[in-house]
Amino acid sequence: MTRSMIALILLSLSTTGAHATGRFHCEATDRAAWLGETQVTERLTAAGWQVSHMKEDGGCWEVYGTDPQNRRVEAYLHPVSGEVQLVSQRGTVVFDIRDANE
Amino acid sequence: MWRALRDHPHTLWGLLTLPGVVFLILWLASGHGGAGRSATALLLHPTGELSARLMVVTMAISPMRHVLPGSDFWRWMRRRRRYFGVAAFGYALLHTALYLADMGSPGAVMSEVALSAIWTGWLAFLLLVPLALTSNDAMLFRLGRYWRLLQRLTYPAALAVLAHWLLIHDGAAAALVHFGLLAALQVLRLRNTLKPMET
Repeated sequence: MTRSMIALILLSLSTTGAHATGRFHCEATDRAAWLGETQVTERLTAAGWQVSHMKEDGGCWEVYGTDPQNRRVEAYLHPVSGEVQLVSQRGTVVFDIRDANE
Repeated sequence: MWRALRDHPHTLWGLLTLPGVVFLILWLASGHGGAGRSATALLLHPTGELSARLMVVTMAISPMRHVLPGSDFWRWMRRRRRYFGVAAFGYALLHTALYLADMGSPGAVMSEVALSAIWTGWLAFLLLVPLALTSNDAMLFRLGRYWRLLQRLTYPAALAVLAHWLLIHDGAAAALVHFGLLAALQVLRLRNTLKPMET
């Protein structure tokens, strides 16, 4: 009983998050048509962003960095067009293309 | 031999400091301030998560004593609960320092203090400060029964940590697993303490 309880606790404590977040999904795209990391960085830098790093999430490029308003943000970009879809600052959404299009 | 080593205070201190040493090596090895993802930003998440985990472990000790009263392991843990609490604060302090370093300026820090994910983090940290400052034997002795009362700040601090973790949105599932487990243990303890009164 004691041992199984401890094992259960250790098991639950060993699960880490920060993988697929499901926060935003981009439309299905052909992986071959995706912009490369360098292209994404160049476009954003030209628009006044500072890019720290990026990863794939929900079929988008998820970029971590600083936006032109100097806010520390995470941005979801359309992987083919490079258009910014969603921007969140520490978990608070500050831009959502779905609202912007309304 | 094993028992002496296990019960030596330095052994536990060493174990609890070990992740900090690993973080330091990672930080030095990745050439902080260089191009790409800075080591400061890289360590922000693991230090916060470790602090929260240690907090959950610390707070699970009492309920576990109720659930498994005969367990030698949890009796051993109970005697060392303060070590875990202080370690949780240590990593929270490191987490806060890394955040400040990553933001780079007081203006930048102030610009996001009003965000719910950030002020909950500050609140949790500020609630833990008096607990850390009074964690030594001298303060325990001097405060007497008020020391236990003061320790109850742990509960609002834990709620603030949970809110901070959920709102920062960097692994909500992990946050819920940790605190869900703790909540379940607290419910079990509450049931155990209430039971004798019913009969």
